[in-house]
Amino acid sequence: MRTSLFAAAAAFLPLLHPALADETSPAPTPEATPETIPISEIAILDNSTAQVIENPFPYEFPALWIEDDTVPTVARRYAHGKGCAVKNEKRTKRRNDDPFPMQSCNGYKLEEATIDQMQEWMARGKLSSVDIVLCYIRRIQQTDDYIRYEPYHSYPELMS
Amino acid sequence: MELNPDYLQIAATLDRERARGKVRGPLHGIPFLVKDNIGTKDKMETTAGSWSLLGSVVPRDAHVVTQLRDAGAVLLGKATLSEWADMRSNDYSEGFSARGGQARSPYNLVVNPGGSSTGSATSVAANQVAFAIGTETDGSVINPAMRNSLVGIKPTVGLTSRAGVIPETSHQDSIGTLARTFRDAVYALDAIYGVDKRDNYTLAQTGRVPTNGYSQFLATKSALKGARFGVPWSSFWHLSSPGQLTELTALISHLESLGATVVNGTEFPSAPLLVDPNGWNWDYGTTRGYANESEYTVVKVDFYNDIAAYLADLSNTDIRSLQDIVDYNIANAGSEGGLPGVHPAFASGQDGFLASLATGGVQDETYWQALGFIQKQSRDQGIDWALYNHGEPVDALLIPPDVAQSVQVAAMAGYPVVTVPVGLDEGSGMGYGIGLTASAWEEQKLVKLGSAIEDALKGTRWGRKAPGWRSYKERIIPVPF
Repeated sequence: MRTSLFAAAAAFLPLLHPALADETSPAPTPEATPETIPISEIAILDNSTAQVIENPFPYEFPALWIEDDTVPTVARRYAHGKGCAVKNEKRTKRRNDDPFPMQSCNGYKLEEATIDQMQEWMARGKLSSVDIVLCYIRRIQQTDDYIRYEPYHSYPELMS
Repeated sequence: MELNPDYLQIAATLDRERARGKVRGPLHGIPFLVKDNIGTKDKMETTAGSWSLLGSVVPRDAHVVTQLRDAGAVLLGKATLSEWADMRSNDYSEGFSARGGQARSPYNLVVNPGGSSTGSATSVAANQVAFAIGTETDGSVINPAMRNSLVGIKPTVGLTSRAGVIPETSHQDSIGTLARTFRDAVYALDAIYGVDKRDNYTLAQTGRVPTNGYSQFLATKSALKGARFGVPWSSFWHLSSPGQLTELTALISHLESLGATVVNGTEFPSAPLLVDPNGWNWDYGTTRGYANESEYTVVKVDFYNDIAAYLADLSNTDIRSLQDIVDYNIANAGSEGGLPGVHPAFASGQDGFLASLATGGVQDETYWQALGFIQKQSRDQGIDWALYNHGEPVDALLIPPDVAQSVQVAAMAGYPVVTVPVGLDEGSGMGYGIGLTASAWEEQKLVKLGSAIEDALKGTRWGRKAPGWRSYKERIIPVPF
């Protein structure tokens, strides 16, 4: 189970400020007891099941194949002979011609959005700049291994 | 190429400002990239894609970066480019830099993605950011914008400050914008133009530019009524591919049907001297036997001097001259391909650098003659002549940007160019567009007419197309031209 990126980011921000604000004299770390361990709002991926995604399509990985919905089911039924019930009907597959669809951003279509459109969403409180930025980061993560060979990764220092 | 580690805090700060009622302008909170030859004084590197400059520290933000930060835009990172903006080699893989790797176009991942502002274009086209900033000495904003089905704006040399930007030649370098729509590209242009005391070319704009931006000139197709366009047919258009020619001429008829007047045959008397019919060639003068008539003569000498001036301002680096860069590329040939035939992306090694090195930066008589020649031929005997049209002036010239020689003449003149996306090449799937050029400081006209054309294409088969991701599983280097 994965939480949205935005809750994760929102949780990071308060952690960032204390770490950055005082580099010269870090606060003494008290002995960790169950009562003092900080609870953050970041999702808990505490076991192998929670950390695994069964279906990484269409946004995490580009799908090579998709269901071929161009072949109508009626034609397939009759191919088995009149009156035959078709069990476990398998759809044929075809090559996917849309391998990199862009995920919507909190329900809003950021793909091909104009600057004016983004301003309107921000003005109306629908999306924040943080939301838009994180949606673009997600898009970079989805596409950059393809449109740019990345010899290294440079991600923000979320834990300084 | 590199993400800004501070992007989250910058965006959050801008959100906080907005919540308190402060919105700086249309770019407030909008994420963008800058090409990696544009200096940023933050946690990110500025290297022009070269390992030799890794770790160098710039003295301050490039002026255009400061302007964009002040406009409230979110600097998300550095975009890949062709290393050293195509200066180092004459046979190379477009969009490749040692630090950034091979940038590829989401339209077709195994052909020339456009360049040298490659990442600036491909990232915007792939919807990774809202807009990007690139640089152009000769075609490097317009070409990648066009190939990635974007709007590109290359302003008059001196409209945007080059201070803090890794140079090629101060006579032709310009900082431009790339976006998916004309309005977006103009919002970015509005943020980055203006006088900067560190680039004295920008002083020339005083009195010639609007005080409150160019977005006021954005127009709809109704602005085409009575607009006058010139078509330099035999100078450039006849060099277009047949498929594009069919589409672009139909498009021009469409503009006429909306009230535009199109004057065919507004030619450049200088075309035989400037336009190599075999393809873009910035050393065409030398090819014809006259080094004192060649753009490259000027570029080679200027680069030697301008790069030394840029490097002199850096700290934390041993690279202080072109010689230092050349030596580095040889010592690190495995990654930087400083010798021919070693690195697949730099087939010719660094022959461009060696040519520049050989000049020693000496501004001799040949250089001055070449400079005077290219400026006079591209302006008085070129764009300005065509615009004047024997006393019946046209507002702007329509050019086919895929014929790179057309953009090249504007580059030599230092004049502005814009490109508007039209369609995808049936062979390669790469974008092509229609371009407009006019005289110095006439961005107003280009904004009005370019946006009008973009609007006129809505509802037709022309306009920006979504990427097709052709051959996305392949990884060839070099990418063929």
